[in-house]
Amino acid sequence: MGLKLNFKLVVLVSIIAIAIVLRFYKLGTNPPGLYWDEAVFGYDAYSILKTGHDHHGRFLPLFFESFGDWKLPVYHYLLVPSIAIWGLNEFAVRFPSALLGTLTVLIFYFLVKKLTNNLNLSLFCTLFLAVSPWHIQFSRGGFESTTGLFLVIFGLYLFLKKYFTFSFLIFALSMYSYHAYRIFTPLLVTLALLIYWPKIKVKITRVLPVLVFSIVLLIPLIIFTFSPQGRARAISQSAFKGSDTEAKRIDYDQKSKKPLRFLSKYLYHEPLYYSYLATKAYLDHFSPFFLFSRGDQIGRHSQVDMGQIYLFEAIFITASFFALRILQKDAKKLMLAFLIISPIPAIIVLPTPHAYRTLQLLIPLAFLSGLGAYYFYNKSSYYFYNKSSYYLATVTRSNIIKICVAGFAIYFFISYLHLLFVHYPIKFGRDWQDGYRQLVKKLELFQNEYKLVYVTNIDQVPYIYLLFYQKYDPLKFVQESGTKRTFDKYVFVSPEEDKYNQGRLLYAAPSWEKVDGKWLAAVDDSAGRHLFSLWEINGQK
Amino acid sequence: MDKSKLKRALVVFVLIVLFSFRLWQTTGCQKFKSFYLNPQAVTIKVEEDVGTDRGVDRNISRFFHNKYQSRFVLTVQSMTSMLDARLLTDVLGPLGVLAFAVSVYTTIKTKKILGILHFFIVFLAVLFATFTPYAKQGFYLWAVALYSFSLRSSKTIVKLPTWLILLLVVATFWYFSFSWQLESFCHDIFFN
Repeated sequence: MGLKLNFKLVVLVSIIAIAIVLRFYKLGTNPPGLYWDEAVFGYDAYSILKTGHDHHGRFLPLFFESFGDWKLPVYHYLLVPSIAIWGLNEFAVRFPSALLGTLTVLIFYFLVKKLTNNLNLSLFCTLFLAVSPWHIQFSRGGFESTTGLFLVIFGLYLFLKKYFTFSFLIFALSMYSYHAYRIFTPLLVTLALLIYWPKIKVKITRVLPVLVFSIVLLIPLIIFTFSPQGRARAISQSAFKGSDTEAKRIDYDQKSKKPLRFLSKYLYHEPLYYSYLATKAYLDHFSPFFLFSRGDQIGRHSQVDMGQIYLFEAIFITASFFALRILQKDAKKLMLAFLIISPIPAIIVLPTPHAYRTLQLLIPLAFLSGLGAYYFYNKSSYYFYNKSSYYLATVTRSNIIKICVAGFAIYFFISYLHLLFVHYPIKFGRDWQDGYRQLVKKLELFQNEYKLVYVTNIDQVPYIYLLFYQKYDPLKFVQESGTKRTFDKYVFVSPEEDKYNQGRLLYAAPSWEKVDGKWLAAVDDSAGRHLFSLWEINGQK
Repeated sequence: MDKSKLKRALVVFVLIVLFSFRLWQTTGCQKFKSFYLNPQAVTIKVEEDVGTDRGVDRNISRFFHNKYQSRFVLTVQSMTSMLDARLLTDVLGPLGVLAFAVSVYTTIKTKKILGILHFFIVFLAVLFATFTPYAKQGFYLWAVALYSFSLRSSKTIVKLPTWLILLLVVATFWYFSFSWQLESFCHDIFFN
């Protein structure tokens, strides 16, 4: 027994080691570059560390203005110690995400163990989460969603352990981590309370005050959610726009057959039409194409050339629906509820399917994959081949099938590693704004000779990279009223703006822009693509 | 006639009416979306992937990117796109999807030879759509296979409460009316 337990401990430690390697190896350089959200997280945290204010000059803000899209605070504050230890660089910005991603794997093991009381099943599920391309993708970037997911899983585990005080506090904290969890966490908590109500109601006197206290903690978030700042992002990306409804109605009238044309005036009422859009968006997240084949088409969110999870998991997820009966009723209900509500935060905004806003979906999927694999490798021979007269033949056959599936799975896993470490840095540099580190380093070589430095703003917010990579003094930035348009001697301009009547200046132009000046240097990204050129304008001929 | 048999006949009739309504809507489609896997796409994918493997040993690169692996991946991509939840809902409607899922479940559960053969026909229809350049024929064959397979579950569907069946019928009609443009399987739709 002791030996068996030790073996399982070794397996668990190995899975965690795999999770660590997959999340930390080459973290600073892969993903290539630094996405602007990561850059602003990092610089705001750096600013908090140095001055106690964000880069807009607000003292210890609860909500960060960022680029005007108002971000939630948890990830920013997690970055402060990381930047204090590792300095202001890509690794430090991604470190909390990778760390919490790894811890999610560990907590998930305990969660499944608590739910199923089955060590082998827990190990299978943990393995699927540890090697999940979806989870690795978001653990390797400075994404808030990874933090939110960790908090939700941790909160759920504590809930099942009946540590209600900590559980509700952590659930409340998860809602301060990422926008999607403002919707997902209350839904999950409500369903968990309903599922476990018979066990909870005997402790209602303990649960209720903590629940009320947690709701009180959420008051600032609720106020923020309904404020213009809080609604800004949701409105800008909303899937529900009144003008679209009218356009669709006219389109319907023009293109549909006569007998049904009269329907448009009844169909295109906003709530009805919006519920149709929401249904479509919801279904997108259960598309096999999205899950197993091509994934989210935004390069930051997936490998694009494969699904959000492995193709072979389709076999295990299918098998899991036959294995659900081996679970306890509550565990089954909880995981199915988790699965059903996971895409909800993504249905009100565009685009869909969206892997970032539905990161929580990978938890029930990893659970089902693990359950299916456990069932497949433990029970399938009894299920598929239960006739004793064929026993010998069927055992051999079933073993061959199992070995083939395992071989198939290993091949796909190795292929994924190849995509992650060889293809990804080359193909998706632009998705991560790769090239700005190189641009800033190159500017530093030339800029001392110029009083004015113009930088192209084709990527909207290049100022954050100059702040980040030069570790620009945050206090100075606030004191000189720096903006995304200008600070210090930097001016950020579009290609159409005039640069020729401002005297002698250094101009960092996009590679394709024709500039009347003296060419100084080229700036390439990590894959060697030419992105920017440095020019001297109005210099000595 | 037995009351349950009558109810079952009614469910089958309603399903046939809904599916026929959908098929009638597709007559306006001028250009069906193709699920055809062009053999040239395989070569292009291998070339692209090998080209990305800078500084990687050619044998290793070929281990990950070869025509067998690429053909398999692209075939699966094409086939999974035909099993897309939204596409299935667009073709079958909410009631049809439920009926289809129940049919799949009971076929695997009961392992009846007729059910397995019928399921195999659906699979063949998916394969046909993947390997034929005739998008319209591929779609109709696949849709009819799906519809007929869904009807197998009528015995289970009748066990649902009547109000739920009615709700699903209304939801299906509502869904079909909204997704009149057949965006997931039709590129261009209009009626004269």
